[in-house]
Amino acid sequence: MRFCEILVTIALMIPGLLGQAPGSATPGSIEGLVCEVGTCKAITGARVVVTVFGPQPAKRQTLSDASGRFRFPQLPPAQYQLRVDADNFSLSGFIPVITLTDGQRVQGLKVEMRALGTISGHAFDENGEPLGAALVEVMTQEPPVPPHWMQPIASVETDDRGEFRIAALDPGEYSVRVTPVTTRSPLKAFPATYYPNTTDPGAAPKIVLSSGGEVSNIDLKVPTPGVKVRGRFVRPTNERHETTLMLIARNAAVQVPPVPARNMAEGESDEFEIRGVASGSYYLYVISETNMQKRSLLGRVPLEVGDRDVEGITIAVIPPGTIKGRLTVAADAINGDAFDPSGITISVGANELVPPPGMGFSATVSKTGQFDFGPVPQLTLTLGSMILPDGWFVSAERMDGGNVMASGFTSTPGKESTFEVVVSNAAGAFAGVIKDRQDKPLPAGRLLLLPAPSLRANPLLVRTTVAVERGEFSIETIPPGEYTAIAFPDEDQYTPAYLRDLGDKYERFGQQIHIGARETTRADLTVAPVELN
Amino acid sequence: MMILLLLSNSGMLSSRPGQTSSAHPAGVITGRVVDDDGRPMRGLEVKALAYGDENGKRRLVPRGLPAKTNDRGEFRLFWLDPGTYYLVASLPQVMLDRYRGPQFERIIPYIPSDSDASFVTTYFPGTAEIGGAQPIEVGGSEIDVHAFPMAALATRVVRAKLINPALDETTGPNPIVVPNLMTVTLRTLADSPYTPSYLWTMLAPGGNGTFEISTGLAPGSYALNVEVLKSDGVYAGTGKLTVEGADSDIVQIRLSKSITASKSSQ
Repeated sequence: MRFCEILVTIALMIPGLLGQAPGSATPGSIEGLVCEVGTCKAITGARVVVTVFGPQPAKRQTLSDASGRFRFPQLPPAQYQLRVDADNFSLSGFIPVITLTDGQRVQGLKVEMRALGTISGHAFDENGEPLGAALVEVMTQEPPVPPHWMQPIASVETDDRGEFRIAALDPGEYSVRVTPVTTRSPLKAFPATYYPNTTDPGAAPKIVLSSGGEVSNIDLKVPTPGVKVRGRFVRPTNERHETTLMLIARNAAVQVPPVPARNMAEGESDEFEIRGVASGSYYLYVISETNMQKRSLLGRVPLEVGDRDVEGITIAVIPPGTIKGRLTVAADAINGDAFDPSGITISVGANELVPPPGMGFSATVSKTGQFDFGPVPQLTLTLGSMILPDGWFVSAERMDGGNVMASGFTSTPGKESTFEVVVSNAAGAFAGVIKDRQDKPLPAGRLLLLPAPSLRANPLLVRTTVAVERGEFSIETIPPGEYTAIAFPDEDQYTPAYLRDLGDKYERFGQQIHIGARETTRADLTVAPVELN
Repeated sequence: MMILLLLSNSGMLSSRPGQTSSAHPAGVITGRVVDDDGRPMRGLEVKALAYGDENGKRRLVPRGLPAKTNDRGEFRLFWLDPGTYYLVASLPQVMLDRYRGPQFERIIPYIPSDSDASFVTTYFPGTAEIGGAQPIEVGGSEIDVHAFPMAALATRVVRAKLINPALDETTGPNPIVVPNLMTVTLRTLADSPYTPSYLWTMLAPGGNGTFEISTGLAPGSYALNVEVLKSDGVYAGTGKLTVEGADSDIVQIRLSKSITASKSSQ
């Protein structure tokens, strides 16, 4: 959704007046039409801005008339960028830069826009009364394969009749949810409810919106006011810090971004009370001391919520540990002494859904290979992708001497740990041709290369690629070892980003591959007999 | 002095019974905001103002929850106590996308029929002057003010130059060069029962520290306040300008550190 809303034009540019032709140049003009894609139905009142680049950048603006036409007369020769905006429309394609020569009239520009859609409806509480001042969000779901994520992309608040209307939505499939605005009505706590009346995002049906369409009567009803969850924090010291609570669903088919739960407990005690919690399985996180310099203290407990209030939950707030590390060169590397680690960024991230700010940490490696993450909460972390010189790869990860290549690692509360990253250039390569089920080369065929099952939890070891012309593919810089290669057809649902989650389902159609150091393994692959949407 | 006209029975407004609720007052004001050609304007903030005491002065202050106009230009202010209200509609000056943060130069703002003018904060029934605002009497019924147009004023370019006072004064003022977020607030210095401020969020200027803002402005005196967020704190400064029949001269704004980073993080 787009917000077509601002009072004035902001211009960070050297003052200049468009239309004042420099020297003796003859002014020209730009004329065009704004209309709907396909039918070319005129769009009236579209906002059209032309900007000139150069030592004195400036812009002029106008509105399209009743026939969708616009005109900028008296333009000096220059290069111009045209921008067009209209409520409930989005630009179809792009508008190229226009070069206007001396006295030239540029005519016949056609700017096509696609009509956007609207979703409207009502929200009601468990008694059928309108829910006023509640937040209604339109959600999209990605990717099409697990783990599914639902993200809000647009929102409004309901009025006193519970009515809402959200416009300027791209055609597509959406879910809609309603949540209380706790700062507005703290006593009216209820769980986020997805259309029509479920607290489980995975059970929410899709609302299909067409270009220019309106889906009305999306009426949401809160099925339950939810229950209260009460308990207390146990802190490692007597220091008081601001705390944030977050409930994150466990084992949910569809995950949603976590949001802070409001602590309704009175006073500055260590007690907490969360209202309006739906039944389900959760992790309850507490984050304390969110000052990024000190990093957070983190606590987490699993929580089962039914239809009654949950009492007596105790969350131990765990102090962070410190992780320092070093980057070393493997013994099998060729010319390893010449490897310069300085400036390489090492990043680690939590491999579970956790609330910020504990999501990830990064450090820059010194010339001697040292790096320091500083305090890190007790989370299971994995190494993120690193930018290494061509041909180099991570061959080992060790935490206090133990192999954590596949398992990930964690900090030890209150203690310092050493994380070692070993790099090597003794890599192999894999190349071949992807063929369809009729044994014909398949351009743009997809390839998933899985390491041994014990290593698959490490995302860096799972590789994907797309074949080029004649179905040819190649993957460079592969750690030596045993792999399973699975080929997929050229379909959107098998884009490389989604392939990683399909290994288990289609592994039986894969081909065993051995990758040796400084060797290129060649094999032709036939696509798996996959399901197509 | 403002003439109070109670319009609820004047024919410009229509009323119908409001919803009753034991938890909230039933007062409602509905309407539509349109441009000078009658087209709906979406995403505007509409607030109900009522007289109250502010620092010992009688001022118009917002009451109840603000509303946003939808794609039809419609708004609905609700849960209002009975009383006399004035409506103010404004275009959000900061393009803050709830899910994506500030959106710089992404959306083209509304343009009046006179493309040399700009829409400005408007009071019902369509005036840029608070003195021309008309009161709305809210009782136990729903008041429909129907459509009212946003006002537009001639666009003026306000140019300003940021000066970093931390530099040696003997070498003369030097521009501050910071690739950081900056908020700019423009507020009239006229004594008024309600003084809306115009606020922009933008990237702080590099180069010679000069930036400019185009906005609809009535003649008068204004304060231009700038705050630049840097890693070591907030730098702020204020300049004054007078708007007459043309763009103002460049406003020199001397920045000084106002809040330390440690304080701001608390």
